[in-house]
Amino acid sequence: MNPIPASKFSTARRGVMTARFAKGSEHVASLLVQVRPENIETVAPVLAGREGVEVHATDPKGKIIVTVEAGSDRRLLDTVTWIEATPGVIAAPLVYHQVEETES
Amino acid sequence: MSDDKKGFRPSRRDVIKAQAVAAAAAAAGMPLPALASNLVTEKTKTELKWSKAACRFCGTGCSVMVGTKDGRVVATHGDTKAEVNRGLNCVKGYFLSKIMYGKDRLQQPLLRMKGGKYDKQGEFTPVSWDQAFDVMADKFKQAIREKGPTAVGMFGSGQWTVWEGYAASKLMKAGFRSNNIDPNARHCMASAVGGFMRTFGIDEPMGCYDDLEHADAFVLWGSNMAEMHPILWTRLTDRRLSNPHVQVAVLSTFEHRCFDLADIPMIFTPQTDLAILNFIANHIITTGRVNQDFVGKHTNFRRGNTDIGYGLRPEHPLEQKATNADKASGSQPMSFDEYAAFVADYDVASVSKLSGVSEENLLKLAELYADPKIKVMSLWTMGFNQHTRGVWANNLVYNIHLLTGKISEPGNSPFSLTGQPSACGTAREVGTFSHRLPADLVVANPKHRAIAEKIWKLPSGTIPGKPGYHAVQHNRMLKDGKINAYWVQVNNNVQAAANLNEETLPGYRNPDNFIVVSDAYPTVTAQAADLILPTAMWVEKEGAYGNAERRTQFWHQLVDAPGESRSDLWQLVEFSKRFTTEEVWPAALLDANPAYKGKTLYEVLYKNGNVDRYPLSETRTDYNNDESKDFGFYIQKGLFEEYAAFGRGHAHDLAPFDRYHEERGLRWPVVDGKETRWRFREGSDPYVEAGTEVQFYGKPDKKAVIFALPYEPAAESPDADFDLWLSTGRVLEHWHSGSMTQRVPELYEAVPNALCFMHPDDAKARGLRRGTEVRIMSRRGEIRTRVETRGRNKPPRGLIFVPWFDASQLINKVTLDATDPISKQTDYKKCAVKVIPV
Repeated sequence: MNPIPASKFSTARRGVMTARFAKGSEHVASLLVQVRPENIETVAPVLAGREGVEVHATDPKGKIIVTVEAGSDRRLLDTVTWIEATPGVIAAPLVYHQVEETES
Repeated sequence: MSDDKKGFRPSRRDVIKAQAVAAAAAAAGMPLPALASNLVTEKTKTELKWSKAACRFCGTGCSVMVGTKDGRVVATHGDTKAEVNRGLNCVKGYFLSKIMYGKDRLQQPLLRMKGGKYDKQGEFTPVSWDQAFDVMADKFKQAIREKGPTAVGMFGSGQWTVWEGYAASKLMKAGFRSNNIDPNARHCMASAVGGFMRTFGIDEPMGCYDDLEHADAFVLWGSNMAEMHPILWTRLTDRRLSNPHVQVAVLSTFEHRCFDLADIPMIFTPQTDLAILNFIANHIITTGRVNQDFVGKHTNFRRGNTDIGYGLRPEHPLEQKATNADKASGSQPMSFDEYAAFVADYDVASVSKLSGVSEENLLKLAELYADPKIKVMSLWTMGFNQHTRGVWANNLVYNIHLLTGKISEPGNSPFSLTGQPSACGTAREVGTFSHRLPADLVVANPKHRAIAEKIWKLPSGTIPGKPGYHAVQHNRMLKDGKINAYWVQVNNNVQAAANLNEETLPGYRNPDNFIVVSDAYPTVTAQAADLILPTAMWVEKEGAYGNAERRTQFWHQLVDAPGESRSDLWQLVEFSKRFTTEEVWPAALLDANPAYKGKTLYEVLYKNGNVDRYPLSETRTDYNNDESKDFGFYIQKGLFEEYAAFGRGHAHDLAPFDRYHEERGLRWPVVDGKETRWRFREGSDPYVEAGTEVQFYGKPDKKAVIFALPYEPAAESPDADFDLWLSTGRVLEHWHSGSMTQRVPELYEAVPNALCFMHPDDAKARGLRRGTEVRIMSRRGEIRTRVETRGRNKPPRGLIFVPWFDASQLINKVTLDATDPISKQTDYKKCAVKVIPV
């Protein structure tokens, strides 16, 4: 571990927040998407059209089970953010998440 | 990845995906899709070792299943057996597999050194734990020797596990005999606590999350649950969508995601929530809907002191002017008729004008409370609590539930939500505040101190009776050199505390002071310290948290901490070995109790026959327990059982230690093995006597108090020079101050910098556009950031919203350290600023 020089101390230092992880990780996540019941037929195909997203089941009460697969941290969150922002989606809670590092 | 899908032979990815689908179907109560049922076998389930744990992030208290492999956490899913989250998880769940694995994880103690010795101006240099504790003990002893126990302090957290907070409180209050311990929960929960104690005489919500499935109406007082408590929002959404009669009212000073579901959306002018609450009380009275029977049997009325100041330094002109700054919590009895006359001023026309909410919406809102057929749940968090009249706001919302008797039964529930995972379980129940002891006892009461001294097997007079410095005073006292040795655990207070430039940094960098920060990562607080101690986090230790509905939850140590990291518990207990009673206790106390002479604080506090009572053999063989192995006894169990002695038989009953490892948590009081869902209600709460229906037994007469409290203006409001309100808060992707979540790069990149959310017309009037770099200036400081006129946070004209997670743009250079004079909690939601282009 490298010592942090006192002279470098500054509350404005961007470096504090730039941690990085091992590159190359494979993610699988599942989400339970909630929509108003009348919107299931329109929202489900939109979700299924996105790369890495699969729709596995729908429930007439307004629930859609989807999985998201992504090859990087960033893509996973982009996709989840996109799902949350899809018109008609009220909530999209995560259920399952697994990550596998493919290189160290 | 698409080719994986096509073949008949399932790939490893298909199997993982099938497990993900199976978990989602279980959570949704939906049948298992064919793909999943074919691929999820007993064998695939056992590839990872799955164990339960309480989520690390917010006060909701979700239970998650944590999958480990080769000593690392690799997967998580919502726990289907958990009543709180029923198999679901929120976006913060994506962090859980990764928060422990940031590249800049601290792994060794770091001391500022120059020429091989400690030097305040030196560079952080790796040292051993022994070297670290040598210097640290020396500084603590010097401070106590020269200025007495009040010269040492500790700043803790609502993220401490139950036993960590308990061990810390003991070390400070009984060991060092200093009450200068306060948690960061002071910044988020103190006003809620003040409200509970003042109205009910006992802390924490009477209801529970089950109310979400029983209410006919929900009122969000400032709370942005969609982003801050997504799982509870999901339950609320479920209730609203599957029951068309249910109504959702959302009150906020700016528009946010909850407005998507709002039947009654309301934007109000900051601070006028007080007037709206009094209007509702007035409406209930003038329309004849007071529940006379309930009010007559179960409540008293009191007139609270007014003009109580803003909790600033005493020399501040606003404090000099306030008539009751020193008697802020005082009150006098009054009659119902006097109360009715008091709220009569708050008529719909004048409150509409003051608040900016239409008369029509105010009346709709008031009817949710007034109509006896509607079960109503009120929900709030920082909007009420971070408020210079935060305790009042809490009192006023209880007023309207008490006037109508809509309390302590399914669906009728004033509910104070919590920000941190154990703000309730640790900060509040253990009592790690400067004035408190476990189970709602307080240091100022000699009988309470005697109870603590007896349980702790300590001589009478060990615990000092004067409350210590509260959180905001800590930074002021560090700056003034009154506290010289200071220990910070599990929080990022340099970033979190208001008025960074004038109070916080001068305090930390005061040459007379020695600052120790225990953290897993080099936060700005760690970097402002003199000694950094690397800390084990979350499932790297055995832990317990208590959530917002009184639910206590446990987990085992699932993985080992990296390098030389040690848990806060280990640090506290190990450090106590370095002090003898002679070094820190007065001679008179020891002369009167010679048996305590020559003992270390470790022997007196932790090897006291209670804490060391359970042998190592009671720990599980299939989970590691670093601390217990190190000290030679089951320390978590010993601490918990000693702590539980405070509450058992006193309405804070906890179950036996071992049971919590088997349950998805239990809501206290747990009596005869049964948890309590609705307190104060006969039949549900074992402490309520038969035939009484309701007893608010926190008060001696078993009655709750309805308080007459007025609208008073904020400490600072926009004027000609500083013409905009500034409100601060969080965005979902960056929980708390971001010290953990910003370690997860995709989240950091999703919202890399804090933005200034602003109404497009306000931007236009200042010649600004979306993306323009601006200076946000207050009377105290300024930051630079960029304007955002779109996005999901939409302020009205006259108000800007800036999230506070970004260490490169510390908004607390700008905020005012005005506090609630009763709770001492800071108001981060209101100050006056101007915005100009760079």
